[in-house]
Amino acid sequence: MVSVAKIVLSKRISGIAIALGGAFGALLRYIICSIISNNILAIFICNIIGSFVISLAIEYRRNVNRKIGDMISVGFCGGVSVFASFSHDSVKALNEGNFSLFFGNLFANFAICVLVAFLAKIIVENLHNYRNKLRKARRWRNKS
Amino acid sequence: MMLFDIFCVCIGGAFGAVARWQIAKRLDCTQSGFPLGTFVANMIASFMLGIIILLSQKFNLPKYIDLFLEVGFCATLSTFSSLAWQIADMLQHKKFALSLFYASTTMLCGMILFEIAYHLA
Repeated sequence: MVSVAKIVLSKRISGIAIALGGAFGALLRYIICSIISNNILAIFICNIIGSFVISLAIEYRRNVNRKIGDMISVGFCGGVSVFASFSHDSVKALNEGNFSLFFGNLFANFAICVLVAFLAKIIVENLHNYRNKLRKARRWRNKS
Repeated sequence: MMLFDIFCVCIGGAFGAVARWQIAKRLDCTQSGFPLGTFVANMIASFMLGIIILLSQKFNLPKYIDLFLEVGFCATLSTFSSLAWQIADMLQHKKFALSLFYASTTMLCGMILFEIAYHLA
Protein backbone atom coordinates (compact mmCIF):
# COMPACT_ATOMS: atom_id res chain seq x y z
CA MET A 1 0.00 0.00 0.00
CA VAL A 2 2.80 2.40 0.93
CA SER A 3 4.79 1.41 -2.14
CA VAL A 4 1.76 2.06 -4.35
CA ALA A 5 1.39 5.49 -2.76
CA LYS A 6 5.09 6.15 -3.36
CA ILE A 7 4.79 5.24 -7.03
CA VAL A 8 1.71 7.39 -7.52
CA LEU A 9 3.33 10.40 -5.92
CA SER A 10 6.73 9.92 -7.52
CA LYS A 11 8.16 12.53 -9.79
CA ARG A 12 7.59 10.85 -13.10
CA ILE A 13 4.21 9.19 -13.09
CA SER A 14 1.64 12.00 -12.91
CA GLY A 15 -0.90 10.30 -15.10
CA ILE A 16 -1.71 7.69 -12.48
CA ALA A 17 -2.42 10.35 -9.85
CA ILE A 18 -4.73 12.19 -12.22
CA ALA A 19 -6.43 8.95 -13.25
CA LEU A 20 -7.09 8.14 -9.59
CA GLY A 21 -8.47 11.62 -8.96
CA GLY A 22 -10.71 11.31 -12.00
CA ALA A 23 -11.95 7.91 -10.88
CA PHE A 24 -12.85 9.24 -7.42
CA GLY A 25 -14.53 12.31 -8.85
CA ALA A 26 -16.60 10.25 -11.25
CA LEU A 27 -17.52 7.87 -8.44
CA LEU A 28 -18.66 10.70 -6.17
CA ARG A 29 -20.71 12.18 -8.98
CA TYR A 30 -22.30 8.80 -9.70
CA ILE A 31 -23.21 8.40 -6.00
CA ILE A 32 -24.67 11.92 -5.81
CA CYS A 33 -26.69 11.36 -8.99
CA SER A 34 -27.97 8.05 -7.60
CA ILE A 35 -29.05 9.62 -4.31
CA ILE A 36 -30.74 12.73 -5.68
CA SER A 37 -33.62 11.85 -7.93
CA ASN A 38 -33.73 15.14 -9.85
CA ASN A 39 -30.84 14.73 -12.30
CA ILE A 40 -30.43 18.42 -13.05
CA LEU A 41 -30.26 19.30 -9.36
CA ALA A 42 -27.71 16.53 -8.79
CA ILE A 43 -25.48 17.84 -11.61
CA PHE A 44 -25.78 21.36 -10.20
CA ILE A 45 -24.64 20.17 -6.78
CA CYS A 46 -21.73 18.28 -8.33
CA ASN A 47 -20.69 21.40 -10.24
CA ILE A 48 -20.84 23.53 -7.08
CA ILE A 49 -18.65 21.06 -5.21
CA GLY A 50 -16.20 20.96 -8.12
CA SER A 51 -16.06 24.73 -8.49
CA PHE A 52 -15.42 25.24 -4.79
CA VAL A 53 -12.75 22.57 -4.47
CA ILE A 54 -10.92 23.58 -7.64
CA SER A 55 -10.18 27.05 -6.32
CA LEU A 56 -8.62 25.53 -3.20
CA ALA A 57 -6.78 22.92 -5.25
CA ILE A 58 -5.25 25.38 -7.70
CA GLU A 59 -4.00 27.52 -4.84
CA TYR A 60 -2.60 24.37 -3.24
CA ARG A 61 -0.97 23.46 -6.55
CA ARG A 62 0.66 26.87 -6.77
CA ASN A 63 2.08 26.97 -3.28
CA VAL A 64 2.43 23.52 -1.76
CA ASN A 65 2.59 20.49 -4.03
CA ARG A 66 2.08 20.62 -7.77
CA LYS A 67 1.40 16.93 -8.20
CA ILE A 68 -1.30 16.64 -5.52
CA GLY A 69 -2.83 19.93 -6.62
CA ASP A 70 -3.03 18.60 -10.17
CA MET A 71 -4.58 15.36 -8.97
CA ILE A 72 -7.31 17.21 -7.07
CA SER A 73 -7.98 19.96 -9.61
CA VAL A 74 -7.61 18.19 -12.95
CA GLY A 75 -8.57 14.76 -11.65
CA PHE A 76 -11.09 15.01 -8.84
CA CYS A 77 -12.80 18.34 -9.64
CA GLY A 78 -12.90 17.58 -13.33
CA GLY A 79 -14.49 14.25 -12.53
CA VAL A 80 -17.06 15.65 -10.13
CA SER A 81 -18.13 18.53 -12.34
CA VAL A 82 -19.56 17.91 -15.78
CA PHE A 83 -20.33 20.12 -18.74
CA ALA A 84 -21.58 17.56 -21.28
CA SER A 85 -24.65 16.69 -19.17
CA PHE A 86 -25.32 20.40 -18.82
CA SER A 87 -25.38 20.72 -22.65
CA HIS A 88 -27.68 17.71 -22.83
CA ASP A 89 -30.09 19.11 -20.22
CA SER A 90 -30.10 22.56 -21.84
CA VAL A 91 -30.88 21.15 -25.27
CA LYS A 92 -33.59 18.90 -23.84
CA ALA A 93 -35.20 21.82 -21.96
CA LEU A 94 -35.15 23.98 -25.10
CA ASN A 95 -36.63 21.22 -27.24
CA GLU A 96 -39.46 20.77 -24.76
CA GLY A 97 -40.03 24.52 -24.71
CA ASN A 98 -39.26 24.66 -20.99
CA PHE A 99 -37.58 28.06 -20.99
CA SER A 100 -37.73 28.59 -17.24
CA LEU A 101 -35.82 25.34 -16.71
CA PHE A 102 -33.31 26.30 -19.40
CA PHE A 103 -32.59 29.74 -17.99
CA GLY A 104 -32.72 28.50 -14.42
CA ASN A 105 -30.20 25.76 -15.16
CA LEU A 106 -28.03 28.22 -17.09
CA PHE A 107 -28.06 30.76 -14.28
CA ALA A 108 -27.54 28.16 -11.58
CA ASN A 109 -24.61 26.54 -13.27
CA PHE A 110 -22.87 29.50 -14.83
CA ALA A 111 -23.59 32.33 -12.44
CA ILE A 112 -23.60 30.49 -9.11
CA CYS A 113 -20.69 28.15 -9.85
CA VAL A 114 -18.57 31.01 -11.18
CA LEU A 115 -19.47 33.03 -8.10
CA VAL A 116 -18.50 30.15 -5.80
CA ALA A 117 -15.22 29.67 -7.65
CA PHE A 118 -14.52 33.41 -7.56
CA LEU A 119 -15.23 33.81 -3.85
CA ALA A 120 -13.25 30.71 -2.92
CA LYS A 121 -10.36 31.91 -5.10
CA ILE A 122 -10.27 35.35 -3.47
CA ILE A 123 -10.53 33.93 0.05
CA VAL A 124 -7.80 31.35 -0.49
CA GLU A 125 -5.43 33.77 -2.17
CA ASN A 126 -5.84 36.28 0.61
CA LEU A 127 -5.45 33.62 3.29
CA HIS A 128 -2.01 32.96 1.88
CA ASN A 129 -1.12 36.65 1.94
CA TYR A 130 -2.36 36.90 5.50
CA ARG A 131 -0.16 33.98 6.51
CA ASN A 132 2.86 35.64 4.89
CA LYS A 133 2.15 38.88 6.72
CA LEU A 134 1.90 36.95 9.98
CA ARG A 135 5.23 35.28 9.28
CA LYS A 136 6.90 38.58 8.43
CA ALA A 137 5.55 40.17 11.61
CA ARG A 138 6.77 37.24 13.70
CA ARG A 139 10.23 37.38 12.08
CA TRP A 140 10.48 41.12 12.65
CA ARG A 141 9.41 40.69 16.25
CA ASN A 142 11.92 37.88 16.84
CA LYS A 143 14.72 39.92 15.32
CA SER A 144 14.22 42.97 17.54
CA MET B 1 -24.11 -5.79 -10.06
CA MET B 2 -23.37 -2.72 -8.02
CA LEU B 3 -19.61 -3.23 -7.73
CA PHE B 4 -19.18 -3.69 -11.47
CA ASP B 5 -21.17 -0.49 -12.10
CA ILE B 6 -18.79 1.39 -9.81
CA PHE B 7 -15.83 -0.21 -11.56
CA CYS B 8 -17.07 0.89 -15.00
CA VAL B 9 -17.66 4.46 -13.82
CA CYS B 10 -14.21 4.65 -12.20
CA ILE B 11 -12.36 3.27 -15.22
CA GLY B 12 -14.21 5.69 -17.52
CA GLY B 13 -13.43 8.51 -15.13
CA ALA B 14 -9.75 7.63 -15.08
CA PHE B 15 -9.47 7.65 -18.87
CA GLY B 16 -11.50 10.83 -19.23
CA ALA B 17 -9.40 12.70 -16.68
CA VAL B 18 -6.10 11.69 -18.29
CA ALA B 19 -7.44 12.59 -21.76
CA ARG B 20 -8.59 16.01 -20.60
CA TRP B 21 -5.29 16.55 -18.78
CA GLN B 22 -3.30 15.90 -21.94
CA ILE B 23 -5.56 18.07 -24.12
CA ALA B 24 -5.51 20.91 -21.60
CA LYS B 25 -1.76 20.63 -21.05
CA ARG B 26 -1.04 21.06 -24.73
CA LEU B 27 -3.68 23.55 -25.80
CA ASP B 28 -4.63 25.65 -22.79
CA CYS B 29 -1.96 28.37 -22.73
CA THR B 30 -2.75 30.50 -25.74
CA GLN B 31 -1.52 34.00 -26.40
CA SER B 32 -4.95 35.58 -26.15
CA GLY B 33 -5.76 33.92 -22.84
CA PHE B 34 -8.56 31.80 -24.27
CA PRO B 35 -8.37 28.35 -22.64
CA LEU B 36 -8.42 26.35 -25.85
CA GLY B 37 -7.67 22.98 -24.24
CA THR B 38 -10.59 22.99 -21.83
CA PHE B 39 -12.83 24.32 -24.61
CA VAL B 40 -11.83 21.55 -27.03
CA ALA B 41 -12.25 18.87 -24.34
CA ASN B 42 -15.73 20.16 -23.45
CA MET B 43 -16.74 20.26 -27.11
CA ILE B 44 -15.49 16.75 -27.84
CA ALA B 45 -17.31 15.49 -24.75
CA SER B 46 -20.59 17.21 -25.68
CA PHE B 47 -20.45 15.77 -29.18
CA MET B 48 -19.54 12.32 -27.92
CA LEU B 49 -22.37 12.42 -25.37
CA GLY B 50 -24.84 13.15 -28.16
CA ILE B 51 -23.59 10.17 -30.11
CA ILE B 52 -23.65 7.86 -27.10
CA ILE B 53 -27.16 8.85 -26.08
CA LEU B 54 -28.30 8.37 -29.67
CA LEU B 55 -26.66 4.92 -29.85
CA SER B 56 -27.98 3.82 -26.49
CA GLN B 57 -31.50 4.78 -27.48
CA LYS B 58 -31.31 3.15 -30.92
CA PHE B 59 -29.41 -0.01 -30.14
CA ASN B 60 -30.25 -0.51 -26.48
CA LEU B 61 -26.61 -0.65 -25.32
CA PRO B 62 -25.87 -2.71 -22.20
CA LYS B 63 -25.79 -0.79 -18.96
CA TYR B 64 -22.09 -1.22 -18.28
CA ILE B 65 -21.04 0.24 -21.62
CA ASP B 66 -23.45 3.13 -21.08
CA LEU B 67 -21.96 3.76 -17.63
CA PHE B 68 -18.37 3.51 -18.85
CA LEU B 69 -18.80 5.83 -21.82
CA GLU B 70 -21.41 8.28 -20.63
CA VAL B 71 -21.13 8.62 -16.84
CA GLY B 72 -17.44 7.72 -16.84
CA PHE B 73 -15.60 8.91 -19.91
CA CYS B 74 -17.68 11.75 -21.40
CA ALA B 75 -18.59 13.38 -18.14
CA THR B 76 -14.98 13.33 -16.91
CA LEU B 77 -13.65 14.52 -20.26
CA SER B 78 -15.85 17.58 -19.89
CA THR B 79 -15.43 19.79 -16.87
CA PHE B 80 -17.39 22.61 -15.34
CA SER B 81 -15.05 23.37 -12.47
CA SER B 82 -12.14 24.35 -14.73
CA LEU B 83 -14.53 26.46 -16.77
CA ALA B 84 -15.80 28.24 -13.65
CA TRP B 85 -12.28 28.82 -12.34
CA GLN B 86 -11.08 30.17 -15.68
CA ILE B 87 -14.03 32.56 -15.91
CA ALA B 88 -13.43 33.65 -12.30
CA ASP B 89 -9.76 34.22 -13.15
CA MET B 90 -10.69 36.31 -16.18
CA LEU B 91 -13.13 38.36 -14.10
CA GLN B 92 -10.48 38.86 -11.43
CA HIS B 93 -8.04 40.22 -14.01
CA LYS B 94 -10.82 42.40 -15.42
CA LYS B 95 -10.99 40.65 -18.77
CA PHE B 96 -14.76 41.01 -18.95
CA ALA B 97 -15.15 40.72 -22.71
CA LEU B 98 -13.01 37.59 -22.84
CA SER B 99 -14.96 35.97 -20.00
CA LEU B 100 -18.28 36.69 -21.71
CA PHE B 101 -16.93 35.42 -25.02
CA TYR B 102 -15.57 32.23 -23.45
CA ALA B 103 -18.72 31.47 -21.46
CA SER B 104 -21.10 32.11 -24.35
CA THR B 105 -18.96 30.26 -26.89
CA THR B 106 -18.63 27.23 -24.66
CA MET B 107 -22.34 27.12 -23.93
CA LEU B 108 -23.53 27.71 -27.50
CA CYS B 109 -21.05 25.39 -29.20
CA GLY B 110 -21.70 22.70 -26.61
CA MET B 111 -25.43 22.80 -27.27
CA ILE B 112 -24.98 22.98 -31.05
CA LEU B 113 -22.56 20.05 -31.11
CA PHE B 114 -24.81 17.95 -28.89
CA GLU B 115 -27.79 18.69 -31.12
CA ILE B 116 -25.82 17.83 -34.27
CA ALA B 117 -24.58 14.57 -32.74
CA TYR B 118 -28.02 13.58 -31.48
CA HIS B 119 -29.60 14.09 -34.89
CA LEU B 120 -26.90 12.38 -36.91
CA ALA B 121 -29.05 9.36 -37.64
